[in-house]
Amino acid sequence: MTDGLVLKAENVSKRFGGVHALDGVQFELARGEVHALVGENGAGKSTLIKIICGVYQKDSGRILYDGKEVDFRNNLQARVNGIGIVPQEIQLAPKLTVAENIFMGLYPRGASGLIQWGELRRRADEIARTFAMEHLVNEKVESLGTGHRQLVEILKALIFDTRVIAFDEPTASLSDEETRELFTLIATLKAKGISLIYVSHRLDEIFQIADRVTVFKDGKYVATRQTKEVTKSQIISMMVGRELALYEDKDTAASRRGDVLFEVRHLTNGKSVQDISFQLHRGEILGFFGMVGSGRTETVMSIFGVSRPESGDILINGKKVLIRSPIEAVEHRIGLVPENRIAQGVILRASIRNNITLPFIARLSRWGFIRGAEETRVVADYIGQLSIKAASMKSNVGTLSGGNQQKVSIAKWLASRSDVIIFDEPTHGVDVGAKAEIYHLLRQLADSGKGIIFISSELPEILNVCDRIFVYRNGCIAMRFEENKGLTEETVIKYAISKVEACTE
Amino acid sequence: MTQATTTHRVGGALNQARMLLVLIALVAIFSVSSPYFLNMKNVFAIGLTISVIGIVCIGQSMILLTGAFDLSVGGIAGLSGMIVAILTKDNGNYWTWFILGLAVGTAIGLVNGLLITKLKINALITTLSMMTILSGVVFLVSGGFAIGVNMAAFRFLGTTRVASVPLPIILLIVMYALFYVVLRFTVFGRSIYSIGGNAEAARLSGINVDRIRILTYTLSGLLSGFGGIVLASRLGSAQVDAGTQYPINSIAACVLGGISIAGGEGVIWGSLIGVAIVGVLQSGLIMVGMPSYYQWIATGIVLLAAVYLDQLRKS
Repeated sequence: MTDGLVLKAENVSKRFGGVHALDGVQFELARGEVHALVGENGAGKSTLIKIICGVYQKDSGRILYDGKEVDFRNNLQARVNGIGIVPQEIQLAPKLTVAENIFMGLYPRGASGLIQWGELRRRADEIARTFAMEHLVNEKVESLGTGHRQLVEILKALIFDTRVIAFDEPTASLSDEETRELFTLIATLKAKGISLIYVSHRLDEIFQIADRVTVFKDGKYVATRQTKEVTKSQIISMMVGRELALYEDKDTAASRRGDVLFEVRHLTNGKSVQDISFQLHRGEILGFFGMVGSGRTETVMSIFGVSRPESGDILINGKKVLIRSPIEAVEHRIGLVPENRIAQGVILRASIRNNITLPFIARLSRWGFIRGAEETRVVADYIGQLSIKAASMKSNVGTLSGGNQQKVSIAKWLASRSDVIIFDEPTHGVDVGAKAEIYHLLRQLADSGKGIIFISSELPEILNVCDRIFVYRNGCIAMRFEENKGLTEETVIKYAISKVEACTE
Repeated sequence: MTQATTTHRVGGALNQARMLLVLIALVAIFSVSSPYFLNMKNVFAIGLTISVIGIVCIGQSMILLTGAFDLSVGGIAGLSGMIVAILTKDNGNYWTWFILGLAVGTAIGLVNGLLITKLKINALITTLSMMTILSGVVFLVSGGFAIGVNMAAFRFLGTTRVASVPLPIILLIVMYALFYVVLRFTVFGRSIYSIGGNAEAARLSGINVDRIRILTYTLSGLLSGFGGIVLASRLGSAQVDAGTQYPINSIAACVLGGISIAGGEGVIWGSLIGVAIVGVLQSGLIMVGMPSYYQWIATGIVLLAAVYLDQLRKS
């Protein structure tokens, strides 16, 4: 090929339901190149590499591989043709050996149709030797650490005559030592002429290993640059920099703030929650911004009694309380609108009524019998307040739109008169109109004297609705913005994405 | 009468109204085929046959509604009936042993619940193991022989008639009415549906999921024990193999009656329809002269056909 390109994506689009995950993007990969793909959560990075590797199918556009148009129908087809993927979530069978995992689905078989175990081991050995891993070939995957498991994924990508490997956030769960080993390995692959696509939100790493970097934003292509010719802040401003219509006046934020309602002291739970302390006042919206996996959700799960923290105290109205389960959290008037609405937030196969009164049904009863008229009155009230659109309060939540389902998930905490309400990514998967309604609702709740914690990976909405903003990184609060005034996306996001060894505030 | 939780179905529950039509159709077919089918005597005979499994089905329904199973119902019924029979035979004090029999059933149910929630052993395995253990215990305490008791008090529950209606049928109807109210109007009932619909969402809403699960197994134990005692009373003896078919038959009846195997959907009286379908089918086949083993074949086929047709309708 004259232009030295191995792979080229032109005008590729992909929709999931109503959401445009990719909107006419382009991307190219030269032979022996490490090409980084960056963007915020939801920018479309993973979607593109999954399309290239046959995991997803594009809706439109072209992908050229060695100058020929390809359209892989599944991952195996892509692998056979020399394109491998190292997925973000490692997908290995823990009870099987490294060799068995490497050749999963492709075990060599003899004329009899039976698996040739000797041949399997010999070939696995041969591949593993390239990376001095032959001593691990007969180990079960469950006995390996995260770094080695990732190596197995890489070996899996190498059993064919592989020319392209896509890495999806490979360092997300690696230690620093393992990260260094990975980078050495990437250099080896590169030296063999293999081209690498490297998806990450850790910009420091990209400057270490990538030749070029392409930026996506909201499913659209922004730009491609040589890493030598670009600075970190230039990349950040390409990743963010979107206009915002919803900014509201934050000048009165401080005056709205009431007494301290809720306090967390030195909360610690493994690596994901390290010595978190903060106060939440009545009438304020406290934003937790950070990348997925930075410890925000783990913090609130520890507060809510879902996972038991190793240490730390929780105080409500200045008094220490013990929360060992969600039952006790709800008793202390804490509400949680969880991240995964369908799995955790609502009961799809139950009515709106039954969903809304779930946290406080005992209070709506006498001698164990539900006071039906009272229940109906309360539910009708909140359906009206939140303008939940449904045929009847007896309609199953499964029949509602995503936005209305989320409103049901929120309504139950309003109706149960929670004082502290935690919202974990409440606008995920809801349409623009419902998003605006949810922002408005958050503000109304704060104004009525409740304390709100708002977790989001979308910076514009964090900047739009929060009174204070804490930035999470690696299980710590990396930065506290005590007022939301004159903040730009650039100033906030840089605390979430730079890789810093220890937590220092 | 439509329960709120069943107005829009997403899961895999059969429609109760439709199964009621199936029941009526079966009755009509057998009435035409056999002149003896639809007389009071035979209706009561069918009612008696299904009364015990019907009572057992109440507990099974509650557990299915939480999205779990109880395969130990037969073992509990067998053991409770056997204990009451043995002790009554030795020392006549029936009503004391009746209470003890209920207590044994309840205690076994409680143990099931604790094993499942506190030790987190899979519900299927827990109750299957319990069934196996109890089948052995029944042989152990009885020496492997049926225990006959010829005593008025022992036979009271099973053979009394009120205005010519057998008492077990009245008990069955009263208990269904009672548990209908419990499931429909109480916090406990609502919690059962919530857990079956989405246990994680229920837990994150502050529902004490473990306590509700333990309570359903305990109640199922109590009901199965009661069913077993009524059975022994009706037959005048406790059989060593009493209840061996109950685990499978009770689940089949509940599914036929529209209780979703996935949990969270269905109405308790649906399982009464399911039990009645099985009872009518079995009695009817005998009346039209088929050997008794055909009833098993027919029950299995009806269950498969009902579930499959319902899937067809939905897709």
